[in-house]
Amino acid sequence: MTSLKNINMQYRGNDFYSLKDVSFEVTEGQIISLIGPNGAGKTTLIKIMSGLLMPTHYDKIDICGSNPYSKKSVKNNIGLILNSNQLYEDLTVKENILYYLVLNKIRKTKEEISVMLKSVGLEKKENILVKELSTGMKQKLNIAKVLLADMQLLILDEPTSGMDPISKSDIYQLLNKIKDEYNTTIIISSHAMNDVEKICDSVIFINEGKIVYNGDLELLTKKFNNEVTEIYCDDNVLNMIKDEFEESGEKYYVSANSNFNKVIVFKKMGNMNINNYKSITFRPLELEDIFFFYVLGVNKNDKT
Amino acid sequence: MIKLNLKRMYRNKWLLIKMFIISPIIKILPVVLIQNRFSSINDAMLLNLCIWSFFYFSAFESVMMKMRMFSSEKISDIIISRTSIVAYNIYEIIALNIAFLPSYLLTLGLYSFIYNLNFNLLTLLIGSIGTILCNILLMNFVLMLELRFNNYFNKFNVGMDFIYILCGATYPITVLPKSIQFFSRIIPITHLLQYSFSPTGELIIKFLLIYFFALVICIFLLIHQKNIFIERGGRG
Repeated sequence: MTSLKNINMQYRGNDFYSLKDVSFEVTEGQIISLIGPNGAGKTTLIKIMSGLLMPTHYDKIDICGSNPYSKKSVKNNIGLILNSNQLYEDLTVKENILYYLVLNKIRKTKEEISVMLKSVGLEKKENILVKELSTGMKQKLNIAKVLLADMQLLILDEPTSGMDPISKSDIYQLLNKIKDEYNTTIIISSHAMNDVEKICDSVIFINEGKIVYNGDLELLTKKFNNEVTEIYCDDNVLNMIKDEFEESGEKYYVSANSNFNKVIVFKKMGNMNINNYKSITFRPLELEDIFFFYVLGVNKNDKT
Repeated sequence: MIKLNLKRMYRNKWLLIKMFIISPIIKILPVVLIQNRFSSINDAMLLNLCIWSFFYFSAFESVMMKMRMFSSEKISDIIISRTSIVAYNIYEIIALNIAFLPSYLLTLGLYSFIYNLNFNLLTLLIGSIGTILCNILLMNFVLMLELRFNNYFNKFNVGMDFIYILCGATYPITVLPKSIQFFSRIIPITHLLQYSFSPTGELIIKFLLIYFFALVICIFLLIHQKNIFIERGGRG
């Protein structure tokens, strides 16, 4: 179990809190998605959880049974995979694993390393220099080294950034496999909501340093209709739409730019009597819709 | 970890060029030729030049490695790992110095053959071990500065040039103004370089005393700076 209670973080020189009263719990073997826009506080939260940034104030930090900021802490239970190259390009796949294991004072046999490499699909790349690997393979290697080091919590920051769709799918399949086979708790911070929604058990929406939603993904999606209507219209039409939906009790959110408003309605509107819009489309509900509904809903109440 | 670090270094072709071409030819040869023009080059002078070059290039490469470590977030893996940052740094420096040893010894052997010089093996051994010790000290200091100032510590070269002047790499420090000599004497490598001019036990004792005093302070500052780094989330 990982548990954080009332985490507050204010960077030196800032007059605002990057994280404010953040609390949540993660059950062992779950995949959690940490979702938020740039500057929401995701990376700050990840750094705090991994022991890289001491919060300004906290009531409780328990990461798989230890507090990384306690002097008694037996570090390290956390495998941190950041959105940058943490591998040594001049070492081979196997040597990179050995390097990480030595760094964490863990011994593994050659067979154990080979089994892990096979499990992540890198069995034929064992003696290849890391600089010759693709981005997807490098990420698989990052995951393999962390798993071999018996880390109980795996934190990934934008794990599929810069990858093609096939590599992305491979990585998410691998994470799902890890969850089932190793019972590792996984926290993924990502912008690619539609990718992570396929594998995560629950989501944490974070915006402006605060958690705006934390809970089961299935329960969350049940609150909304499965289909959404996306309308592009100008301000005049927006006002008409607002009235229409308020009367029918529909949930909707508005994302505005200088010329047009993108109105998302969580129901297929087959009998709309509005003709003066630029475009209208019907599509399945996506995690991104729910996220924006929460973000805009919490911070811009007049828009919901 | 030393073995894996060594593999990393020997697979870096630019490092090999620095070790076997730039260090002996560009850094040492011009000074050897100039010295030989005015007064014939002697073993103490050549040993000093080689020690300085060994110290300078291995220190410089270590700084480059640290800059790469910071820019790629490898520092995060190290800070949260079960290996202390001091131990990690020492493993890396030892590997780097072992990697540089063949170039240093080859250069020394080559020039001593050309100029027909004979080295005192004890002086050579003490000089080499002392250089590795000085590198450990300097690199702990550099890592401390990196943690404090992040990648702003790019002025390392300038700092090394000042040390070059102060520690008397090619001359006895007695030729420096008296007020400057004080600063020279608190730099451990000064005593090591002076040792090759006049190999006395007194200089070794002075070197060791100053060295260990500086090392204790440096390690304390490094650990303290690591804690500040965590408190500030890597912001200097």
